[in-house]
Parts: sequence; structure tokens; C-alpha cells
Amino acid sequence: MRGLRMFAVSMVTLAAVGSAQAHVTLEQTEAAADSSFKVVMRVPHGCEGAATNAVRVQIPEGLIVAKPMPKPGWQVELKEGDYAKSYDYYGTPVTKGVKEIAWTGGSLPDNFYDEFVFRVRVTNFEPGTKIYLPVVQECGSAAERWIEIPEAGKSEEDYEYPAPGFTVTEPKGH
Amino acid sequence: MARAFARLRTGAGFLALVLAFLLASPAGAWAHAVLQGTSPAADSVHAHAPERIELIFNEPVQLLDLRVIDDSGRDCSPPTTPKARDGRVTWVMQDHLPDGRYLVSWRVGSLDGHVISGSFTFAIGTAGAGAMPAQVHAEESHWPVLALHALARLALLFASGTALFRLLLAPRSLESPLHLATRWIALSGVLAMILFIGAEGAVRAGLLSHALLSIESWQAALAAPNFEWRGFSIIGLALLAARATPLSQWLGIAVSLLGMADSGHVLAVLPAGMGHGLMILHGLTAALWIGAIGPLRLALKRDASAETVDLFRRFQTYGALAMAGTLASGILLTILLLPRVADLWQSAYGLRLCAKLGAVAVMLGIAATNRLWLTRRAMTGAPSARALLRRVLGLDMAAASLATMLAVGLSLGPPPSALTLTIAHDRYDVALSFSPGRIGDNDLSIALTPKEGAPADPKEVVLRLSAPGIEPILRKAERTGPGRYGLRDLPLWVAGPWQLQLGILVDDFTRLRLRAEIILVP
Repeated sequence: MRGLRMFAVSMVTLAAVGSAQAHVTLEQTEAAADSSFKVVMRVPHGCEGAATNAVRVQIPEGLIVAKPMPKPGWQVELKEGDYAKSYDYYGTPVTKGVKEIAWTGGSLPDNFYDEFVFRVRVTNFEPGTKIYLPVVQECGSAAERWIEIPEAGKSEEDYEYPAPGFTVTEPKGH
Repeated sequence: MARAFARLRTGAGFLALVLAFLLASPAGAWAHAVLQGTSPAADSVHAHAPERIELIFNEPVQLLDLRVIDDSGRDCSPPTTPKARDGRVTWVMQDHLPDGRYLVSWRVGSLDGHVISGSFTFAIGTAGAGAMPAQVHAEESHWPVLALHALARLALLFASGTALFRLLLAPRSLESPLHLATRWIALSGVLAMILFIGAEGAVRAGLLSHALLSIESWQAALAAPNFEWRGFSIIGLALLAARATPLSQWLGIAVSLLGMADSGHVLAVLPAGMGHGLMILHGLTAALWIGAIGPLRLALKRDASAETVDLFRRFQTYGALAMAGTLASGILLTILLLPRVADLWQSAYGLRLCAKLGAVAVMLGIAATNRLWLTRRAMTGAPSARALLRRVLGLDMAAASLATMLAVGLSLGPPPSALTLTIAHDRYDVALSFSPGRIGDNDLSIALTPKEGAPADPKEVVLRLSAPGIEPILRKAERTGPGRYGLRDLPLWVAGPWQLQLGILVDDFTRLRLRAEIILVP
């Protein structure tokens, strides 16, 4: 067992390189405040070996007018609701909109990779704000919930099922 | 040395393999390893010890830690080195594990570098079927003290019981022999009580229990927390021994029975008033019951006149009341003291209580036999039936004495108690109760009080438990009622700190994680 401990050290080094790849992640991890953002969610594997047949993402407060990109072989459903406050969208106040996007009825085998795409407007967040998009990946009766949002002082690395996220940057043209 | 080199080589080979994978495979396709099965299977029961423990993963893994722990928390890992080949970890057991229950704790690295871990249990032999935790808690027992305590308790119950019988039921012809008996039993009770207090004081003072004559013993005895209750017993018994007047007899009975409240374990668990009250009630009704056996036997031995027939007839109501009171108070105490039914056979206290209940069952059997059959025959004049009834009452007396002594034996150790804690969170207040709350199998009940519009019944409640050297045990809680969740037979077999994390899935996208630590003791 002592021998094992030694290799544990080498594994930790490798862990730092590889662990981020195993989760549902975003292709772009930065987005400017007050701008449109094309969100590409990368789904690298199924749930414990089973094929994925639904991917659902929750749109957090402050991301408005979300629109999914159609995806062949999948039904896309939108769940709408009220925002916590009113947002200005090119002069029009917006108080409600898409709160959840669900891609269902497809089949993504465990040994295949796919991306799920939608567009949102990032409102005027403080630059540096980290925004998380909780994602539920369903595989028949099993599910993997990428919904863990790091507590203060922790990072995604500390969690087994971190929610994918991005950092808000300075608005464009400033 | 050669083995170390061999390991180094395997390690280097694995490292090269991992690096090759890192370079060759497209980044997005990596996933963590998934445990697909184990041998023995999780939660399985086997007739024979397994020759090996195997873990099967969906991809090659690097073994980081593997250990086997038995249900007393002892590490039973074999000296052989486990081998990981492809996705299969094989650990050959050199010696057969003895019958019992085992926890396998594992931690491996996946190809993507992610470390995954877990624990599962299996059992060998009949141990799987709810055997008691093997943990034996060695308690210092001082037999002289225990024997004196039992003698004092016997004298207390028999003296007050006999006095009660004399005052309530006895015909004139039995009065004087019964008073004589009360007197002698009470006197020996006073003596036993004083010796018991002194001997216990000696033990408290760290002396041998026969060091009765030392000042330290008595100083320690006077400082004991239940000294006043014992003092009541001595005063009451002295009153019973002193005078035959009804007033002093009634006073003696009342005061001596106050000594029944001297039960530390009951008081440690129940609120003071309730604990004292129930114990005194239990003592009073038990005294009524077992104090009647001797006088009835005496009456039977003397003659079979109309007076005796009448006495037995009148005893029927008296006995039924005494028995009902003893059983009711006893059952209530048992329910209040034992957190769950399984503690009757899974805890040392429960087993001692079962022994006592066995003796009580014999007494109940005798009571039923007498009531339904034997008393009537003996009273209608058959001399052989009378002789048989006398012998049966003798047996009854022996069972009653045994039950009393076994009741004193309950003082040897505390009843199992639950370990409770609360976690405050901005969405829920959570109350957790581990039962019995000591090392061994534990049941957990969870009560959720929602705040700020959180749902009373979340979609899922998952418990994650880990301890130093034991990788997380993950269990989903069953809903047992509105806002109530439960988990059974958690293998908390190791003493020390356990980290627990409660994952509450409020809605599809929100999981709260509440953390706490419990310290388990034997």
C-alpha cells in the first residue's frame, strides 16, 4: 500500500491537467457584459456509461432573451418565467423570458461527444462576476447533475459535479 | 527491495501509458472511471469467505488506496498487494476472513486523472442477518458491589412487598409471622445497603471494594450523586424493621421505595421527575407482586381452611393490579430507554434487559397457570395439588429474585442512546438523529424544516459519510413522512470523527450541501 501512496502523488499532478475535461463545460469561458453570448455546452460522455437522451440547462438571473440553436435529432423545449427584475433590451423593458432550455428525445452514446448551443444576452454584470449554468444530463432513468456552484473560497475543482460557468468581462467598446 | 523495484516499474509503465493517452486522445472524450461491479457484491451475504476482492471499472484505473475494515473498526487488510490490471483491481485474500461483516474502502485514479472513491459492505456467514455489532465494551465490573446492590434491592422489594401484603390483605393469623419476616428482611436490607454504599464508595475512591473500613471509602460514598436516595432506602427499611404499627409500616414502605429512584441510567436518559416517578411506580408494583408470593406460600403451608381460600380469592384482583402496574411501567420504561426495537438484541443493555424479561416471562407463565388451573384445584382440597402449588410458588419466588437481580444488572452499562445534532442553513433547519449513536450499525432519521419557501419535500436527500481512512459511503435517504427521511444500517464501524454531508436536491438545478461532523465513541 505504501507503493500506492507514491503513485498517488503522480496522479495528483495528472489530475490538475485532466480533471476539467471530464465534466460538462463551456467552450468560451469569458463573455463581455452588455453583449450577446453564444454558449456552447460540451458534453463529453454519458451517465456512468449510458447514452444521454436529455440535456437541460437553467438560465440564471441576468441572462436574458435566451434562444437555443435547433439541433437535428433532438426536440428543444423552452420553459419561460418571470425575471427577478426588469432589464433593458435595446430600449425595451424585458421582465420575463426563457428560464430553462431542454434538449430531449435524442441519443448521444457514451463514447461520442456533442455540443449544445444557445445564445443569451449577458446584462450589465460587474466585470469579473462568475456566472454558472446548472446543467442536468439525463440518461434514461439515471441522471448526472452538473449543478454544483462553488461556495466562497472554493473553485470548481473542489466539486465532483460542478456547474459549467463563465466570467463576465468589460463591456465591448469601453 | 525487488518488490519495491517491481512496483516502481509497474508504476512507471502506468505513468507512460497515461501520458500516451494524454497525448493521443482528443481532449473532450475523457471521462472518469466508473465502478461497474464488485466481488463480493455490495451488501451481499456469503456462506464462505471470498478468496479475493475484486473491483471492476469501465476503464483502466490506478489504485490509490484499498482497505478492508471489520465491523469493530479493525483493519483486516491482507498483507498481499492488490493488483490493478486494466479496469480490474484484484486483491487476493491470503487468509480467509472470519465470519462477520466487512467494509471495503477504495480510491482509484481514472485515466483523466480524476480521483474517485467509495466504500461498500459485505458479510460472511450468518452475520449479515442483523447480528449485533461485534464491539465489546469492556466495563470494569466489581462483582462484590454488584452482589451487595442486588441483595439490598431484593431485601427492599421483599420487605416492602411483605409489609404491603400484611397491611392490605393478610388474615389475622398471618400478621405476626409476616411482621417477623418483614423485620428480618428489612434488617438484612439495612445491612446490605450499608455494605453496598461503603463498597461502592471504596470503588469510587479507587480502592478495592472490601476496603470498607477506610475513611476515604465513606467520604466518596457520601459524595456519590444518588446517596440521598440510598439514604431513604436505609431509613425506610429501618422503620419497617422497628415497629409493627400501621403508621410506621406505611411510612417505611413509602420511604424505602423512594430508594428505587436510584437508577442513574434511567435518569441520564429521561427527565428527572418522569424518571424518578416511573422507577418508584415500577418498584411499588413489583413489590406488590413479588412480596405476595412468600405470604401466599406460607398461608398454603399452614392450612387449607376457608380463610386461606378467601385469601387466594382476594389476591386475584390485588395480584392482577400489581402485575398490570409492573408490566405497564416496565414497558413504558423500555420504550423510553431504547431508541429502537432492534436495540433489544443489538445492544448489551438490551440483551441484559431480555434476560430480565425472560425471568418475568416465567413469572407470568406461573401466574397464568395458577389463575387458570392450579389455584382452583388446590383450593378444592386435593392435597397433591396444594403441594404442587407450593412448589410452583417456590419457583415463582426464585424467578422473582432472579428478575430483581437481573434488573440490578442493568446498572452495568447505559442503554443505547441516540446521537442528535442540528444543522442550520438559510433554506432548511435539519435535525439528525443517529441511533444508537455509538460505533456499529446506525439508523439515521432526518427531519427537515423548510424556510423561505423551500419545498418541505425536496426531490432527493443523499447522505455522504466518510471518516479518516474510509472513503465516502453514499446513501440515498428514504422518505418516511412529510419532511422526514430515514436511512437504515449505516456501517459506522470506526470510532472517531465522521464527516457527513447532506445533499438536498431542492429542484432539478439546485442541490444544497449541508455539512457536519459527528464523533463516534464505542
